[in-house]
Amino acid sequence: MIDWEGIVAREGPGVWRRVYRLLGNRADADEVFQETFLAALSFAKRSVVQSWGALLHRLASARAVDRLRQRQRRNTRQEMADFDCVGGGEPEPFQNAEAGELSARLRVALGRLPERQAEVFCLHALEGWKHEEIAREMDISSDAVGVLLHRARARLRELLAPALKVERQVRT
Amino acid sequence: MNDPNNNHDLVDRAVAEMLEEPLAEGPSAMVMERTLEAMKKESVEARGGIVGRIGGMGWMYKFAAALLIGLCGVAVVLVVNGVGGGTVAVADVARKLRESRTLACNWTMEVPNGGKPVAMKMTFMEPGRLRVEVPGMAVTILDSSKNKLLVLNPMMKTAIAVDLGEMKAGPANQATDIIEWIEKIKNTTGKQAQNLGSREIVGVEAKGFLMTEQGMEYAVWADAKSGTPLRIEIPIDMGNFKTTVVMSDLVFDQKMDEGLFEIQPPAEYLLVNLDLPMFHSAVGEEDIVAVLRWYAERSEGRFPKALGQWVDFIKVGKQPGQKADQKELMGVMVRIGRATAFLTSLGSGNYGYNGGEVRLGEKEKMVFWYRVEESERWRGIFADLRVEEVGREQILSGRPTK
Repeated sequence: MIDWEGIVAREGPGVWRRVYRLLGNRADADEVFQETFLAALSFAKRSVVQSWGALLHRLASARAVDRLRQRQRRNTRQEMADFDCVGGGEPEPFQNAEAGELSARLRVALGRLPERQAEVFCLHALEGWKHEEIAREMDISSDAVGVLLHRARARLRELLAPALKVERQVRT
Repeated sequence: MNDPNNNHDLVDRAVAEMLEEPLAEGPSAMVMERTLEAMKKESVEARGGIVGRIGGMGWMYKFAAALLIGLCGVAVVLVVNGVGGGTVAVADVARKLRESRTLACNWTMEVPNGGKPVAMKMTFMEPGRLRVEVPGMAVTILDSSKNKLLVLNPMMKTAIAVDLGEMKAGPANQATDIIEWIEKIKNTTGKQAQNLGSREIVGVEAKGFLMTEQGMEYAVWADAKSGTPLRIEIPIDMGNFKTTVVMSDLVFDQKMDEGLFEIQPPAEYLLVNLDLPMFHSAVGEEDIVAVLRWYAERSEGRFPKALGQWVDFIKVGKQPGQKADQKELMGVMVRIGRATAFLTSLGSGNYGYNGGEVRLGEKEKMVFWYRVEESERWRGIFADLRVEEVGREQILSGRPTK
């Protein structure tokens, strides 16, 4: 019998903080938190869990990325406008300088990445997982992790580049 | 120190900024409690297997399924028999699915009680592009990265373009869910899989796995030697109607012309801008009213003899000596699709039709009646096309009149 209360109590705060960091929104974090544990429950019905921490953090990242993608799809028009505005050459002076803007852009950009690229990137860059750990948990080769990370970073650079352009314009 | 002029470290700066953001306190005790309750409920509830799980999925699946059933008819029971063994591992199958950039297949929907299966040709190309062809009827192209949907009618040379980005809610916005459905299949880890045994598929020994990916379950049958997926079965439960979508004749990484996914209509097509608010709302009685009104006003007050014989609408729309209004016909076809989806969602025992013997304007006579979902309330559409709540005794007393 799995001690779910113990697992939720032990791992819950860490899982919640991870999804909150990625989503930057309490309501979404609460929902994704619940989805994560329900996914873990479903997983545990079929497979033996080696490490609850690793499983939950991976599921949390996947669900949070899923939420970013949903958010991005629902708000594509608005968010595209935001990107267009930044890249359009007539930025407001305070754009970019706002604290948290780059991380907000990163959230939007992560929602635009292919699912697995986003997941691997989050686990590596935000969770600090090593290639081998990601490979083991996602059942792919370390090389594949490297490729996914490379593609993710390249695409993120493209998506974030307009922000840099604005920075330069503001400075000059 | 990071060089702000170097966009190579822009990603690192964004990550660093995100990591430095202050974290809120959480989760609250209420969220913890709610989560544990949800888990207890999930543990206790006997869920209806893969059918039950798909049944809980997005409304668009049900809508799409209902639309197809209405337009194309019904089909055959799928029988899955396990025979023999195989050597391929689920990880091999999952890898094949994950690593493919394009996927082409035949897409059929099978239902109990006989009939002709609904058949379509489906092609998918990363990132998030989908083309669905219903032979002789329509081509639907969806580009999720651009949030654009294009429906081509080759017979009438008309096209409907829909900007999904403008739709914050409602059925059409959920069209992107179909892409996610395919992406979930493609991105399967294979970690949550059950062995379904073996069977022969088009002369090839195949091994089956019941996969679970982000709450969605489906069966994949793969070549027992190479691991190449041969067939994917996705059960759908719409309450009174259960069916299985089958993806067969799977071809991976076939070279495809990007033009297949072009969301601009061909030059020879007439672009029709439909009244888009129609897409925003859920299907319902107003769709039945709309198709009945359209038919009756063009048929000297007669209603169609039966609901579901939609080909009659085309005949009415193309009366001799009259030039058919393409935009109007396309609008009616969308309404018919919605009406079909509504009927299917009601289930066969929960509605009735008596239009064959009634004329427009006979306000005492009921043309159509249905039971409101999950209630004992009934509503009726009368021959003057008003809609009212009606008593069950009116429905059961044979030919209903007010």
